Amino acid sequence: MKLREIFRFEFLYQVQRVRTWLYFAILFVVAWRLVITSGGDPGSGHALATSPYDIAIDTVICNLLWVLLASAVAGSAASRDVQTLMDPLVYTTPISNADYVAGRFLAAFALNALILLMVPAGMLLAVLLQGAEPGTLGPFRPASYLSAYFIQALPTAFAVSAIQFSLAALNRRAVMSYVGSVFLVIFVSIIGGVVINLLQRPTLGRLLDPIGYITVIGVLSKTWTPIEKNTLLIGLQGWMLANRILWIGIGLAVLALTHRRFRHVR
Amino acid sequence: MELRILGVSKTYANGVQALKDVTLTIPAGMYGLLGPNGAGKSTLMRILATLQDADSGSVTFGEIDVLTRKNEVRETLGYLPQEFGVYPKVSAESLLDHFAVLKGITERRARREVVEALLRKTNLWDVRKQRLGGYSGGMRQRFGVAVALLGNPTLMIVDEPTAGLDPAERVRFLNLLSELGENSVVLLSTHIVEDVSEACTRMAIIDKGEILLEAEPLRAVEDLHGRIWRRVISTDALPALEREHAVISTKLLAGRTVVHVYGDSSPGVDFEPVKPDLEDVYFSTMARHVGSRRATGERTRIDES
Repeated sequence: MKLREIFRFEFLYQVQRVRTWLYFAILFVVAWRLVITSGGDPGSGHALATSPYDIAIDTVICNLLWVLLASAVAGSAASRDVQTLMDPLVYTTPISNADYVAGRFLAAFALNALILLMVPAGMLLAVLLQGAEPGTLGPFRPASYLSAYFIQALPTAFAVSAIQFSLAALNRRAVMSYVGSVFLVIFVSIIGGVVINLLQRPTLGRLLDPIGYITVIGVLSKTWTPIEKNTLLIGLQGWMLANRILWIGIGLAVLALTHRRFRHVR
Repeated sequence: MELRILGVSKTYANGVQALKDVTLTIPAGMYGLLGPNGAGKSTLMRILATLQDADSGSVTFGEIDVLTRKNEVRETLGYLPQEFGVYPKVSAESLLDHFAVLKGITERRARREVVEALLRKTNLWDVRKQRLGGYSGGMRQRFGVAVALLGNPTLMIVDEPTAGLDPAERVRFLNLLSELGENSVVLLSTHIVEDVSEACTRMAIIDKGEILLEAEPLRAVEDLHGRIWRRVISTDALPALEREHAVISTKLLAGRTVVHVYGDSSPGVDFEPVKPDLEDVYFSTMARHVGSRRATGERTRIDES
């Protein structure tokens, strides 16, 4: 009951912010424009604008944008009590640490999942309006969008929200979730690049990448043939599933740590 | 129900010793903790409100160990901190409703009634739909009072509650607390002597982390009878007077200085005896003439308070 109330209140509080609706709008418009403008390269015969590969790439770009843009969703859910000085009122109510951490985190995650839902929505709008160049749109394959959202976007949202939430909660400052997000993007891309290109360990590199952009853009763009790009679903690749399981695990571990370390004291 | 504080000490990381071996027994009713700013009041209040840990000592409320069974205390605790904020972009009504659920009032109709009653009691009913970000300091303080009163707490900790209130709000608030004090332990910290003299049946005076006096205000005033002397002087005569007499307080009156002096017998013909009040008790205690840790040396007076 208290968990549900903490979730409800946090979700409503953030969904009523203008900032939140800006995130919705930006991701929707960016996804829509990406389909229209990046629509393949008909000359070389590969990659239609709505091929599974292109949808995966657009999703990666939007996820990356989301990591940096919307870090405040998890950050403020984790630290608003301290930052508004309301913590002495909240922390003296009889709520368990588990209800508090879980309620706030799940609200942030749910909101982020909705924000990221704007990406397939924007892409589908482009398809519906046929705004792209004639001939660049392939056949409509729902599996491409489902895979992009449920296998690419959602696990990323879970892991990254957990990291953003924990950094803000344990440091008691929302800005730490943004600092952590920038660090995550830079650090992971450097490490991933080094592992893949210098150490020649592409599998390990793909595992380390929570967003998928080095692996999708850096590796598949070179190794997949045009036909593979038009037909293969990225979500069904073995390394992708391993990567997703690893990052969901990391997200759970980070949340468990936060639950252990977070104290309702001043 | 009784709150027992036994030998509680607290030293901060920067070396400041905020509490030194504090021992108090606080029965049901209104209890005033009086002391100057920086005396350690807020530290003690935060420890009692489960927000801070003591270095040593024990605190029990009835059967509950306050220092270790925090969530049990929180079930029955109302706490009004000295300083607090609120979410700016939410109405008083919806935030109070949220707190009501967190405090365990889960049944919808009961909650609506409690929230309405408290908004009316704290005079916020007419502005209940307004965002808290637009509230004045006094309105926010009253909102804090409403949160603290949720669920009829049997342990109420209020830290400097009257500081931001206007005179009418202050009286209203002290009345609310007195009402609660009929069945609950209400501990009120303040640096304003009138809060204690008007509202509290028992009190303690704290300075530099030490309890100097534990008493009933009326008894303490009675005990001072015949020991407070008054003289009106010009301000520049004060240093000389302070060297010769046990000056406990000075006050300005129409450009001259009214001096209160502590003494078992008349300090001189220029002095007149005054009927002591709680302020004299406070200043006599702060000057270590009264209480458990009296000053030693030539100024020491014999008393039995």
